[in-house]
Amino acid sequence: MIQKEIDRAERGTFHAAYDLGIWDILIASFLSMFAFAPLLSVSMGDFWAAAVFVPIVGAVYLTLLLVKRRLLVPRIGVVRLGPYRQARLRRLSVALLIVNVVALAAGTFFAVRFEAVGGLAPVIFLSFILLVGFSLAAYSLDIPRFFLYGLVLAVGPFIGEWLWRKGYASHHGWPVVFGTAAALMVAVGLIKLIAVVRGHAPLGDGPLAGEDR
Amino acid sequence: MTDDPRNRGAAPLDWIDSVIHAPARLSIVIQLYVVEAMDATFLVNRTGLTWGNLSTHLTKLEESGYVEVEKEFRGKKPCTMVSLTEKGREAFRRYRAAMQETLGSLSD
Repeated sequence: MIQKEIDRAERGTFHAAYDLGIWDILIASFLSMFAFAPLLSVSMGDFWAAAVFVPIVGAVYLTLLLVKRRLLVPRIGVVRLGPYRQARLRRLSVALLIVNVVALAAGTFFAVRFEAVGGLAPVIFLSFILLVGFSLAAYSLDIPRFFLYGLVLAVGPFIGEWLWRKGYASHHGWPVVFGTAAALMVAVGLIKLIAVVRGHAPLGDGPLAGEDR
Repeated sequence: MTDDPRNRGAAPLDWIDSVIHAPARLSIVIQLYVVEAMDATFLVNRTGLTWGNLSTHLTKLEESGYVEVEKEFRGKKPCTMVSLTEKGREAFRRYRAAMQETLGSLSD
């Protein structure tokens, strides 16, 4: 009974402090690179089409940081997580780093040897990597909707490929698929963020900040 | 006969830590047990207590040496960080074990 309450408090504390919609928006800003870079690469070249998103994602990150400091912290407060959750987040960071390194290596391989590999192999790999990455995040962060994002993004490249082969979309359908997924994530993130802001009045530090204690 | 306080007879639950046992303080201690520290704003949100209630219960817990209250400044704004001391963690572990043993031994 008490153990259940402890587990619930641990999860609730983590969600109250970190599941605020900010991650959804930040990941969506990163995914928008996959949507727009293929379109920009026509005029800017592959490198600059991707590079232009570094300052954009950076700007989104800084904006969200500001939103957290100015809007969220006065409302929800600050927490330093316990060792259990810290260890879990460290394991997730390592796992995602490995997934990213594998994705980068495979992406480079597919780019260089595309003619030799061809077919659906890159699409299958991309779907698999996205599903693994988001599933790991969903499990480690206890945020089930990340599984849903992973599923949408895993199915997306196949839909994109189909749209492209049928002539309904350009660039293997990436602008449509990743653009839609990013828009969905931004919408969910904004709804969550607005709900948190509306649901909590700024509390400051109350009487505990004064000299009466 | 062991020196188990539960065998003392007259008041069978007098071994329960009354500082922790009060619902509001139990809620505070559980919230603090799962983290390293949290500020008073977060604690108010998580426990649903009023500032006045929180202040009263924190004072009681602080006097028992179970929690530590530290004033910090985040930029120019004051911030009250609250954490469970090692004594508080140990007391809660004892309390949890005792409650589990007591309630677990009850038949349906």
